[in-house]
Amino acid sequence: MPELHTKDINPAELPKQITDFVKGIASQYPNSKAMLIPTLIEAQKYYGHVTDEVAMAIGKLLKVPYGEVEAVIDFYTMILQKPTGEYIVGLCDTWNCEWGGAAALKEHFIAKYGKGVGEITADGKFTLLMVECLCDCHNPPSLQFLQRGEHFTPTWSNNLTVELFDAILDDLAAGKADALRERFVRMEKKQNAPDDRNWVWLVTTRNQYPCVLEGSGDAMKVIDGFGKFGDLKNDNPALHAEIAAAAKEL
Amino acid sequence: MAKGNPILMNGIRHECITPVSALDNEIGIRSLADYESKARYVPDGKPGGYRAIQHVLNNMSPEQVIDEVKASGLRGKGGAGFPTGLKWSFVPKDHPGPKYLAINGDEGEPGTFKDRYIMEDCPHRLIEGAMIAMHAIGAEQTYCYIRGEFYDSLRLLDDAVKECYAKGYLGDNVFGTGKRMHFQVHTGAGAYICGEETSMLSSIEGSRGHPKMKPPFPAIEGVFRKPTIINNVESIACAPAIIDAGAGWFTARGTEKSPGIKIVSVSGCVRNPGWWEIEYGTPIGVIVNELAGGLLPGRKLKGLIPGGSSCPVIKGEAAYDVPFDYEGCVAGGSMLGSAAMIVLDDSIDMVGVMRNFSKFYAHESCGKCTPCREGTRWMLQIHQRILDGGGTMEDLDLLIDIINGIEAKSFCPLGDAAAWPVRSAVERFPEDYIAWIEKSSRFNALKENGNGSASPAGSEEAAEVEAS
Ligand SMILES: Cc1cc2nc3c(=O)[nH]c(=O)nc-3n(C[C@H](O)[C@H](O)[C@H](O)COP(=O)(O)O)c2cc1C
Ligand code: SF4
Ligand code: FES
Repeated sequence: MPELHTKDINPAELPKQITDFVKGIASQYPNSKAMLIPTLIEAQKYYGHVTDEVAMAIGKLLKVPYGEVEAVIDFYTMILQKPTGEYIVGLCDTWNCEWGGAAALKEHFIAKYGKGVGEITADGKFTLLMVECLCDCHNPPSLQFLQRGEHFTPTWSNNLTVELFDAILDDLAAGKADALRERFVRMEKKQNAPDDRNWVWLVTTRNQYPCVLEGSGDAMKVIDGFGKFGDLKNDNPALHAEIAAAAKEL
Repeated sequence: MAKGNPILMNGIRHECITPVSALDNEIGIRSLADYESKARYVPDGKPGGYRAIQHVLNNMSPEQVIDEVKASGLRGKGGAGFPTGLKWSFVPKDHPGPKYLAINGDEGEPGTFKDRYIMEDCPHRLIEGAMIAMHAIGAEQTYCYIRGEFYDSLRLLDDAVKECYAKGYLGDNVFGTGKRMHFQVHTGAGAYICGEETSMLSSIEGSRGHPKMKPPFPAIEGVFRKPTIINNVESIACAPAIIDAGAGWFTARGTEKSPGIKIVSVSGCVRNPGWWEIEYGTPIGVIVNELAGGLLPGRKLKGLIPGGSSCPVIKGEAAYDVPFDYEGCVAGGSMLGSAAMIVLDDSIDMVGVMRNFSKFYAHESCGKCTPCREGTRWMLQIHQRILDGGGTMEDLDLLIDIINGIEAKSFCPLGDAAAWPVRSAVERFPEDYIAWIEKSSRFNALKENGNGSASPAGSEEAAEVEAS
């Protein structure tokens, strides 16, 4: 994790990632103030959150008075002023997701770690943040894991149940490489299938896929599907095994 | 309406009930090479990406492009449905300085999920559309403002832009014509209000996302005080198809006043929520029952919001007969908005829905004007009080009173957007509110005390809510 600046910094001492970012986009804008929000976001990706010192340095770099930088930081909810855990768990609780069970996930998180929204769990791994509609309302409840590092790495995890959420948190805390892999949630028969084949909806932690199943028992296989379903067919053997197991029950 | 083949697009629920794939049928286009090689639907069958813009650059004047878009009847897909061609024609032609195109990718209206799939899966269609628009309005720079939470959209669109720069499709000499066209992906930072067009401009300028006074309208004085056209991602992404296939292709679909096609996103109590491209005028019943798989077994439709959380709720199964176009939705008692259909079945309590919506608007109100800043919070407090068992019958009048104070008295349309759904819920579903209130201790205490005067306990509670 990059070192945090807690003293005044000369803008020239800002990390190369930030200064290069500004150089890269400067030609697109008629003045430097327009780059303020993207640059603050870039700084946040680098540091994890934006301290006063970093904000001041960015203000100097872009020739924006510090008061205006503060006003912007205050206004935009995505710019964080406090440190977070390694993963930010951004959980949506707007209507569709509330209806889909977001409150149960939130309660579970708080009960599991004894930490409320915005706090860092004792192991330093997680911070839960409640966010407004992520525009993923067809997969409620929807949440986004953001992994801190030199960049924020986002991973969507939708359609979650409390059990799956719990398993994902444990796997992440244990440092399992595939903790955020796409997981199987449930399978439903597809209404209004386009042809006579065995169309089902596969609901996973990423998405909901219409697809065609063939065979029976252990030999049950996904043989066709829409577009991106290709990923599912080819790149995800673990998921495929989960599906074959679930298909037996359908 | 004939049910054609489902269109295999994007892997996510893209089915189309029209016999043609609506805009085109790219399957998960991610790279320029893919886009150039894959067939895009046009009636005369000549495929190929970036064909429309080359045709425009070589053969069409800006006026001709604007006329073609006007003739297609394309209406803005961001909410208001303003004719896009007409909007483009507002830019002063003889303006000496720079002009800008600002694309609105700040998708944030609860229930909407369409722009992100265009940006992630067919970014080149958006870039090509932006180039056509820049040619039409005489701009050399596009800003595409994308909400900060869409890390994937930001990265994938940015990658696509870099590919275009590398190939000379964007830059100081596009396609060797000597024209300058630049495209910059600009990130937001988590504010719904930045979807409002003038707030978006404030945000691009590096300020708080506060709306600006109109007039001057952005087409005259927009970002950096220069003429600016603001369009939704989906509106811009329609442009290549209109140029390729001609305005007639567009007007052949949909209704007379709402021609063409629209992506509708369906969420809530349906079996298969998802998004589809449909013709305007398709009855809502067809969308809910045929595309989204209908309601869960044994449930009945209680209410339906056709255009995202900012629109009034249509009551009951009458909603199924409403044609899904701008005029039809208004006649049905609501609005088409961003075409984000939220389906509510009879297991849903309207008070809970409105508490959640009010929470959203109270959180997202920018705070610039008092009716919206205070009113949205009061609406939230009253809903919370009713749900906590402290409601009285007067709360219904109080809600309407607050709504009257917000509606048409706020600085920007966010205030109206917060008020409309709550008004429709109070007026069309009063029984849900009354059911809560009749169970409330305050209501029953008042009833015992005779008519009207609040018990001391009641007023204390009210004072607490006021103070909180
Ligand atoms: C509170 C509020 C939020 C809005 N959010 C969006 C949005 O997320 N995306 C969008 O395209 N338009 C949004 N709009 C509408 C825009 O102000 C604007 O009308 C639209 O981008 C114009 O593009 P169009 O003509 O292509 O529809 C919003 C409007 C308001 C009042
Ligand atoms: S209506 Fe709401 S969002 Fe719009 S300016 Fe007023 S306070 Fe801000
Ligand atoms: S309501 Fe949660 S993503 Fe839209």
